[in-house]
Amino acid sequence: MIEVSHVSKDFIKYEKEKGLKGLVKGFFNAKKKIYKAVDDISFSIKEGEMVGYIGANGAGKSTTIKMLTGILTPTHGEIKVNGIVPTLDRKANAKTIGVVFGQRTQLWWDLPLQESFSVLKEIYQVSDEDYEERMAFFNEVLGLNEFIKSPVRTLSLGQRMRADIAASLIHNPKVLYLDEPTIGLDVSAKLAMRQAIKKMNETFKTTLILTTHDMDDIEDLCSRIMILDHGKIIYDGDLSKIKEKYGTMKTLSFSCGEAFEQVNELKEAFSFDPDFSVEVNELNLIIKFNKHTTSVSQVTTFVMKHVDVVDMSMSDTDIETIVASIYEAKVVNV
Amino acid sequence: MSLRPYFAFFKAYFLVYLAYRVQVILWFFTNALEIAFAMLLWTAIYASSSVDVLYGFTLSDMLLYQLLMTLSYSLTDMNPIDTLYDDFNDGKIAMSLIKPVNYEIQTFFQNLGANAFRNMVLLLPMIGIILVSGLLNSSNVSLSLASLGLFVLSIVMGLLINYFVKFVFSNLVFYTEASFGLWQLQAIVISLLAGGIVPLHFFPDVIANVLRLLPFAYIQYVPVMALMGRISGSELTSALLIQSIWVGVLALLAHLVWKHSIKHMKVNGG
Repeated sequence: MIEVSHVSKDFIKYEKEKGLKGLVKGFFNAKKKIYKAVDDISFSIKEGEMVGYIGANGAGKSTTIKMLTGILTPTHGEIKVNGIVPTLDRKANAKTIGVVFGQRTQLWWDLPLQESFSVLKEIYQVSDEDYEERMAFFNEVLGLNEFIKSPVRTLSLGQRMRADIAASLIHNPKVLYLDEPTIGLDVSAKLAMRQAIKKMNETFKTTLILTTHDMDDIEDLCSRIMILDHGKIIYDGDLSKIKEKYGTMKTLSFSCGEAFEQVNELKEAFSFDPDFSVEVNELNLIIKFNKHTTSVSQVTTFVMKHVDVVDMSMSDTDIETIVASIYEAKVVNV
Repeated sequence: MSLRPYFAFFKAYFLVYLAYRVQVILWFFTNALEIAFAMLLWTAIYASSSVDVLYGFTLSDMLLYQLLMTLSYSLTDMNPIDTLYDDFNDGKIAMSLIKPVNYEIQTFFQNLGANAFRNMVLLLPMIGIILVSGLLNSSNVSLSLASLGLFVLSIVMGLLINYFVKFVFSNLVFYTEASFGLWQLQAIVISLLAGGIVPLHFFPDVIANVLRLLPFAYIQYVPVMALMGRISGSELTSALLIQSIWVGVLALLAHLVWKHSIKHMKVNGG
């Protein structure tokens, strides 16, 4: 469905020196600097697959999406979506894709929402029956009717994002690109969005590429993830494998009746565990450790001996922390 | 290629303007002020002049000229600079490029939608002023179906020339990454070279002849002069011919410039 081979994208940045002098100098003789936003990436995605595309800010996620959608031309390499080269045949490609850029909207700011949908209906030449049927579906999962008559600029962020998701699906695209679709949304709005996406995938085998900073989105929707760092793909594979390999950390949080002052003794006692870490925040004590080297009872016994514990809770490492440690290490061995 | 989706853009922009009622009232006032100002200025100029006819224009000719220029300005007004600036500067263009539409045609129809709305509001009052003022009679302009038809044809070509000139200008936004200065520059240049301030034949012959070859004169000046009967016969035929050549040349230029821009585009923000 999607074939990407050895794709790079260079941007030329003009560096300006500091101050007025620098601005004047830059005006006449700007220093060029080539910056690789995406650096020789290759991957392929099958029909109906749901792929999480993650990476820190500036890793090149959005640039990749923009190349896949035909907005940006790759500097090197080849992209084929559904047999079409997006930049060469942007319009043909556009008919079969749906795109949501979380920080933008494809709706008409000043028009009532339903006018935006009728414009989109014309653009994609959706038949009346299909249109009615899909609008009914969107209303069911995304609750559009509450605000369909309001001008888009008066919508809340959550409403606008729900509308944008519907807008990206109005023509039943084969591939759906979601670039941070849940940015700034509350929990119920996120759930509604995920539900809509899942349903579309089940019913129409819609292929999905999702970039997000919200790991719940990924865990809920994607079985495969690609991790991008500084323009390079550093991991491409199962989400579960990553979790197995890196999810060995446990977190114990204590609420103490008095301040915990034996931090150094605690660290010393567990110095055999290189992953062991302690964080004291007023009366709260947060301890992280590797579950293969340290046991829960060892830690709790130590803490309870030294301080009065009011409350405690335990959690496994979430995928977010896993990914953060991967970003830091920059290597993935699975 | 079906034009149906593009009419959707036309309609959307028409409706967008409909949503801004205050803007409509402001248009009325700025237009009324502009007309009143030009009228007062030229009346004063003629009053202080020792002759009644300047470069073949009596006072009522001049007043009619100014009214017709305002009318034709409104008819040919297109602002791709605004559209493209919005689209490029904050990266909104991404949202257009993900749709199966031709961006150039889309922008044209959006601007046409805005133009149609503006004229729906302004056209009747302006025609009313021209008819009521009696200037048509006092400057011996006889309107016929043929002269009106030629005016409409010439105005349509003027609109296209105006649009393409500004579209080419707009693409400079890519290279300068600044719009305000550009906007002012094009507004002044086009207004002066198009005869918006004084009729072109008021310029020295050498300059006037050069201006007659540039596209700007063919936006408003030629249609207005044709309607006033100042250009006629073979002169009119050749003017319309040059006008249509400019439409073709500028359309091609706009397309080429756009092709270049899109290849070198960076999409700002996110």
